[in-house]
Amino acid sequence: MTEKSAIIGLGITEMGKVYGRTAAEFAADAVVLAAADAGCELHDIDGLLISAGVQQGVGLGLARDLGLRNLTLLSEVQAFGSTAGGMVAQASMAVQSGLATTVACVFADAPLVQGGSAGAAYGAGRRTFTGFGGIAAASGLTSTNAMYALAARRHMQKYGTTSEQFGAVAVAQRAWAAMNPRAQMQAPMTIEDHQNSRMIADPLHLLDCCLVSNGGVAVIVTSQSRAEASAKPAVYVLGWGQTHPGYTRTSGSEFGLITGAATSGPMAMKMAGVSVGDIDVRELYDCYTYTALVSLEDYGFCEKGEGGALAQSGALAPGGSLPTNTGGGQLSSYYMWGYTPLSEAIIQARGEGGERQVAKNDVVLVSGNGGILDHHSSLILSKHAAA
Amino acid sequence: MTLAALARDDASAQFLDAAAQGVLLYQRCSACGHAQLPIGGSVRTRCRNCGRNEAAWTPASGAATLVSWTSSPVRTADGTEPGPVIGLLELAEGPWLETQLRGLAGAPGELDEGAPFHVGFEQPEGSEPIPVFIAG
Repeated sequence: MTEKSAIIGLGITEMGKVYGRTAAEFAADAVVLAAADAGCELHDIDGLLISAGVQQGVGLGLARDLGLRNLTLLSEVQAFGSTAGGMVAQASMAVQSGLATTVACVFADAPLVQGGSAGAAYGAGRRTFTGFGGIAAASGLTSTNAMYALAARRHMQKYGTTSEQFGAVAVAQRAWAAMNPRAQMQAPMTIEDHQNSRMIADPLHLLDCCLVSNGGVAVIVTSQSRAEASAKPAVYVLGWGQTHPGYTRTSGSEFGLITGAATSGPMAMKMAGVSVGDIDVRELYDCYTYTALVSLEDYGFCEKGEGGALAQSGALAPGGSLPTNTGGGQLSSYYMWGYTPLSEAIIQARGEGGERQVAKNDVVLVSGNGGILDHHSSLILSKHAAA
Repeated sequence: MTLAALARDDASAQFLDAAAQGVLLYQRCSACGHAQLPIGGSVRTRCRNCGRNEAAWTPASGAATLVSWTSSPVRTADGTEPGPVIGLLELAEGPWLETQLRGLAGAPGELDEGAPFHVGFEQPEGSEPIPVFIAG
């Protein structure tokens, strides 16, 4: 039987409105922190997988910046918001095949500029719109916010999901963030705050949308035998899956209604030998409140269309029966693409969550969602080598 | 309710020439019959159902139904004002596209999935004609 892989190091840089450093510098910092956390030397790293960030500020040159000379695996990985899960899977397969023994996976981004607005951070400004693909853009559909708004509105129409139910996701996550010292947003939030926050792209209010953050996160993946000798408690990678729904953009498309979680989730759970009822902690990709809500449905934590009622029940919040996005998620802690849910999953699986630590933390689900629901990844992590 | 200017490229020339005549085109695969619209500009006639290079431009009826919609406030000197309502529409022939909606009686919140629309064309200064969809 193939040896399991495990995450033995986690490095999180200063996060949020941290200025004067490039994405490449955050990436290097994160790898150094992760190696130190794993109790290994930089030259022990023989695999480096790089997620270049939303701004594409990190490249293969990171290996040179870090002085890595023993690499037998070096690559950029790109599947947008689903990248992190794919990287951990790829690193796991690399250590299982013997391609590498100690693989660092890193994401870093530095979109925030001092004095600039968060909204401007990812804005591309006015462009010339050309060709068929330019029609939507010329009509004003130029932001990720607006495209997810189309998905969220479709969910509302089909299932009766309400803005207040999206708000319940945001409120629950803010309650978790209040216990996360790294969270950018810790002030208490009410449903009224959510409803009164300005409209970004109807039906999405400001408090439905993720943050924008500068920073970097890295993890170190190794084999089970090496993990058993590591400094920190190992977090085993029991299962992974990725799917890319390929919405047809024609009649019958499930866009906005069913996401890749419905397919990548069962793949990862089957590999891990667990079922949805075995999952103790959920760290779900939450670029928007809607994304977390629809993912809960598609993973099977409730019936299809019942995500809104589930959020309103309080189950996701501290003290609830289905603790979800326990660090505050991308909505309230920090936006590091899939490394936001991945980092919090490792913290929870290790039992390092402090005030927000979930008592039962045997099996943790991590999701990633990329593009406009185009790409999906799932990971099952555990402090145990077998489920 | 301004549309930005749209420029043509080789892949969109036939579509935009028809638009100038008030005709909305979509693509139908002559091999498998699949109906589609291109997603970007780089793939012109490849059928996304059967993979053959036989998706041919065909006149559409111009009738569509609303799948979803959104609207973002627009910044002005004094604050913000309501922005255009952008619809995700399903042509009667099946393909989806996104563009601005016209002729809405009430607020965007009063719209419904499945509401009927029909195509019109507008041509901003210095732009190719752009399809919009009119309620009813």
